[in-house]
Amino acid sequence: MTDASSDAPAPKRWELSREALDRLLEGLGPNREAASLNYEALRARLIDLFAWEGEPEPEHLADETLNRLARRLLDGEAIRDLNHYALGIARLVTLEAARARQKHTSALREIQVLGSKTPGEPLGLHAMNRCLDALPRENRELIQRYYSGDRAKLAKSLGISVNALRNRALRIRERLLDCMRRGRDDSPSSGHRE
Amino acid sequence: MIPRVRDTVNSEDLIAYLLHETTEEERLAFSEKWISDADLHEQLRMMEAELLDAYVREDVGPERRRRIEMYLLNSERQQEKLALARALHDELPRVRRAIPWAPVAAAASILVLAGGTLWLVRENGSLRREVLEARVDLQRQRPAGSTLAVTLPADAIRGAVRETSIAIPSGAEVVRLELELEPGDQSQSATVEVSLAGRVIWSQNPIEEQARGGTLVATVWIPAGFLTPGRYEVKLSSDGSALAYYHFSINPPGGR
Repeated sequence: MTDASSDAPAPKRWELSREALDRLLEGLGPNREAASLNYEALRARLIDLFAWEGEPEPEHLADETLNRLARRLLDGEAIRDLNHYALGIARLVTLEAARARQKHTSALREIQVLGSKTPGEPLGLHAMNRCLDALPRENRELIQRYYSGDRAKLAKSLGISVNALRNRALRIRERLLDCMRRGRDDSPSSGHRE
Repeated sequence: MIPRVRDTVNSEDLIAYLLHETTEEERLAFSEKWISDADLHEQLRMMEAELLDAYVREDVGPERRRRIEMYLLNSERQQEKLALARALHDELPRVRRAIPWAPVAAAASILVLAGGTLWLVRENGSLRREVLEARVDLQRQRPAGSTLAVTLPADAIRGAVRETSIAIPSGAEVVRLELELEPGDQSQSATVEVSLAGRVIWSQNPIEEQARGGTLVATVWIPAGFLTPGRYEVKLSSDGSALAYYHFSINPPGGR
């Protein structure tokens, strides 16, 4: 918790209530199941949006954006297109995050700290091999062939386009990444600190 | 120009967005587009993965490398994606394309053997005859030591033209253009079109790709006689979508 008692122009953190979440889900789909899927999809897009803007904490900013979106809905705002509205909020959130970073003059130091990390350190080869082993055989073989051979030939042998192959490989890659993250997060000795 | 219609988005647009090679207005317009387009979002994710793969393979030029570090590796989440790319690269080393380096003497035979897919696009029938004659000549003469090789960098920023000036020495019979490929531009079904003053004067499909000191290049062979003085545009495309553009100019004889 930060102490925002002095000048505190930064917006106070608004906590997502059950009611607000329900309102958001109602806006995202005709039923709970569809709404949940759409919520996850929108959250994933927002995370990528912030990540591709170069933000250091994309998940946090995505959640902040969704919270604000839920709040607007709770306040009775009529929103026609939630995706575009969320994008508008996300832009504001990005600006605020940039301002906050400027305020903390340690921005440069943060970059240096991030830059000094050995790329690829948090998740390693061992974790990937473990996760590769955990994949269904078909997927494991596909990703191995994808990275070891001619992709056009592989696509042809599977009867799909190269683009469809890239798509499949991306899905498997994301499963691998999830598995590696879970493995790291579950490990008691793997604390990670900024 | 932004906003563009969905169909015109190509890998160049995706890379430009991910690596902040666009103006802020273009960036905002592109965000508007992909935030509600699941397919386009998917394409961006695939391109991001390709860029990170290329980064760990050291298959990107210094400027793209710098941009990847500046814009794609800022968060722990992104670092994890890089870690996966690195692990995949280390564990499943991609077999380098074993394309033998074509000796100069093979230039003509490549042109002739690929004749079915090499064509000169000019409406004028006499020019069609001219290209046929050129092929025959090349086949007959088997030029040795008469190839001029030129490496062309892709335009880094849409709209910003980087023009390479070429002076064809007398005696050069074939010009080999080596088009530097950015990650994601590799394609098994790529086509190259060379235009002069907006008219396509030479087209080649398929395109040979070769490794050149850590960079992948697509190679195009053109009879030197077809390259009259002027400013040329080279378009590399796949399935109708432009992957990259290159520009060069041919100097008049004796000119620099």
